[in-house]
Amino acid sequence: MNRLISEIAVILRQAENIIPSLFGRYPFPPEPLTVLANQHPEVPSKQPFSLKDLIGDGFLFAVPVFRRTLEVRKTRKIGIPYRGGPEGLKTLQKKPYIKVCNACGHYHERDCLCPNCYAKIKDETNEIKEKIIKELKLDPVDKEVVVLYDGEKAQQSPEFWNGKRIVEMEKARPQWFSKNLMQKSTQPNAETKELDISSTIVGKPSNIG
Amino acid sequence: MNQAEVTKLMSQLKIALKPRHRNLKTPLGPEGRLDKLRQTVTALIKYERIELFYNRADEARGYTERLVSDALRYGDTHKPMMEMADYWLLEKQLVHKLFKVLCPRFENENGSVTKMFNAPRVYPADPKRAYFKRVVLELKGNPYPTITPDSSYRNKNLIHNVLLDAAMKDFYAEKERQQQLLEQEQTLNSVEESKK
Amino acid sequence: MTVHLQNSLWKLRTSSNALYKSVYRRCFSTQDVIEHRNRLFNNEQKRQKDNVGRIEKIEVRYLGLPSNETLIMNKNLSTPFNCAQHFSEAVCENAVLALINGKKLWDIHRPLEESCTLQLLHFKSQDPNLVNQAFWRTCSFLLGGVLQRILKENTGLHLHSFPYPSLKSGSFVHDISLNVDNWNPSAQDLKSMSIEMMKFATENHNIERLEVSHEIALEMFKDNPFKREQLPNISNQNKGVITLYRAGDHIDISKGPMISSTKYISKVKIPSVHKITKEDSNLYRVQGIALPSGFTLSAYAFDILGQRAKRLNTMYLPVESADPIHSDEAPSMQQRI
Repeated sequence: MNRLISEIAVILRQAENIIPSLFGRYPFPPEPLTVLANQHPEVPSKQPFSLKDLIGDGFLFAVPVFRRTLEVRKTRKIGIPYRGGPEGLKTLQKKPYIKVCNACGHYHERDCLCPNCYAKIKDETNEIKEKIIKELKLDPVDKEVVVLYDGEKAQQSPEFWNGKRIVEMEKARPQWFSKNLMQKSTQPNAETKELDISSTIVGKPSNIG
Repeated sequence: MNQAEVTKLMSQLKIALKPRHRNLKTPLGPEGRLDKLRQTVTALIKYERIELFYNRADEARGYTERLVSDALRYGDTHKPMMEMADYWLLEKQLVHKLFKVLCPRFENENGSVTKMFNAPRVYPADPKRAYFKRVVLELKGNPYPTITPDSSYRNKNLIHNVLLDAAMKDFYAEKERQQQLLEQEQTLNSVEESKK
Repeated sequence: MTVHLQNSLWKLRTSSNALYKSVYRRCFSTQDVIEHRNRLFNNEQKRQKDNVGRIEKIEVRYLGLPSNETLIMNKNLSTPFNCAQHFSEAVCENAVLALINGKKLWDIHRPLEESCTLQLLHFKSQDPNLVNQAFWRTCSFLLGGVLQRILKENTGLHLHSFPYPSLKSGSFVHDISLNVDNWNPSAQDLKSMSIEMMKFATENHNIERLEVSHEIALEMFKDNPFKREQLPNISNQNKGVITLYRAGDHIDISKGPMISSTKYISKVKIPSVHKITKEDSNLYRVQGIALPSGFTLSAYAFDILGQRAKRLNTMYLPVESADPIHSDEAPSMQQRI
């Protein structure tokens, strides 16, 4: 008897599953059709916890929750930031950090050296470097190095060059490499700390093109 | 101790330093980092002007400055100083250079001993994005042509300097005049008093 | 005569008097005067340009950045600015004054007359003294225009003149005449004058130069009694030719070169106005300081300059004499340029 009842219960449970399809969208059958006194609530089957269930297929972060509206899509397409800030801005922006070099008229970036001027200086520096290394080799360096160009050694008496290591470049001095800047090593330090207006010479370097 | 004395306790570094050193990735780790920096410091003292990447240049700068300022403080007879110089300078002729050339050169130097310039950026390097910034690091007083044009000779004639110079002259002339007036008054007063 | 006729005659007289007065006033309103002056200026400018006729070519040797080049330009039509345009926008932006043949100063928008060597000067050139002077002169010149704009008609403003620029005196100066006896502008007034001048500068007017004959100049400045007196002297010194400069709608007489445009003036302060004549005549000296764009000065340093400029600038004061409106004598001047 018990078994009969449980079998009928199974059949009726199965019939319950058909009812939604009978009634379409609103599967609330009228009261007489609702079944049975002995409704055993379904006990969920106990399955062991497996990581595969949790991660198995993988899970996605940062998945869009809402659909982007047409307005938003269009705005992004033409490159107007819709969220404030510069993200998404696709229009060409002026670069205010491009300046004109006062010395050579070429362009360079505000915080960097002028490439045109620096290339010249770099080439000259490398030439001087090579010459110095050739002259000094591996001797212990104990004197300041003075770089002279064609004909400049003869301009001063030999005593003037005492205590300095001379490196002679076999070429004429480039126009833009001023001679005056060398005088730091050959000028004595100031005697007093007082400012003497007559002694501050405002010298104009020659040969600057 | 006074504030002044505290500053004499150790060598001064006249450049901006970060709170922690950079890691400078190398296969040997921290040891490799120091090796790299030794090479850089040696090169800077040997060639006096080098072009390299910014991070290493900035690190080497600190070490070079410290080396030079310590050499100035302790001189070449101080054993720990010699060991330090020996460690940092891989070419031994440069130890001579450090004490015999650089020390006299920077004896009276008030500021830093090195100078760093940003080398020209080559497109597509963009300042708004990360890129390997190149830099020119040099010792002051090097014999090469100056990187920035020496503009001290024409500064005086720029308009704001002309105006300020004139104002300064006027100010001192006025001050002197006031002084003279004061003195005249004083002499007059003293004459009057003596009369009484 | 009947009373009726007398009345109507009287009405006619008073109405015609009123009409005459209104016409008189209208003819001499500042706006009309300026319009008239500009019309004459434009006509003369056009006439001179049309007079060039057959275009001849001149060789201009440009020395400077980015490279030394020889340019073939049009005689009496091409200006140093046109030469700069052949190079780049940067060269045009930088150029403030031109140096012809290494010794003659030339305005940037003044047509070149013959083959020459051209150098374009700017505020940070090797020897900026010449440019500084031109800048100071331009500031004086523009100050007149600004005063004309902001002082009301009932003050009876007449621009007297402005003297040779002197940077070391600490201020640029413009002398004006008002029918107000004691004009003591408040700090707020002076500040608004400074702001007006900066506004005028940002209108980016090119400063144009024109040489006119004595007669046209007299016609242009017929309303200004001071200019009327000065013009014969000036034209005598200059072979009957008067050089005028125009910025926007302000026209004035000046000999020396001006900078190319008002846009280079960035910071202006007008710290004081001093009365420089006594009794009947009301000549005032408006003093100002200015800096070109590209020069940053701290507020403290600029204030020092301002404080100094508050004191009366005694350079080239017009010799004291009675107001020419009320007397026959013309005021004599020293080096009025």
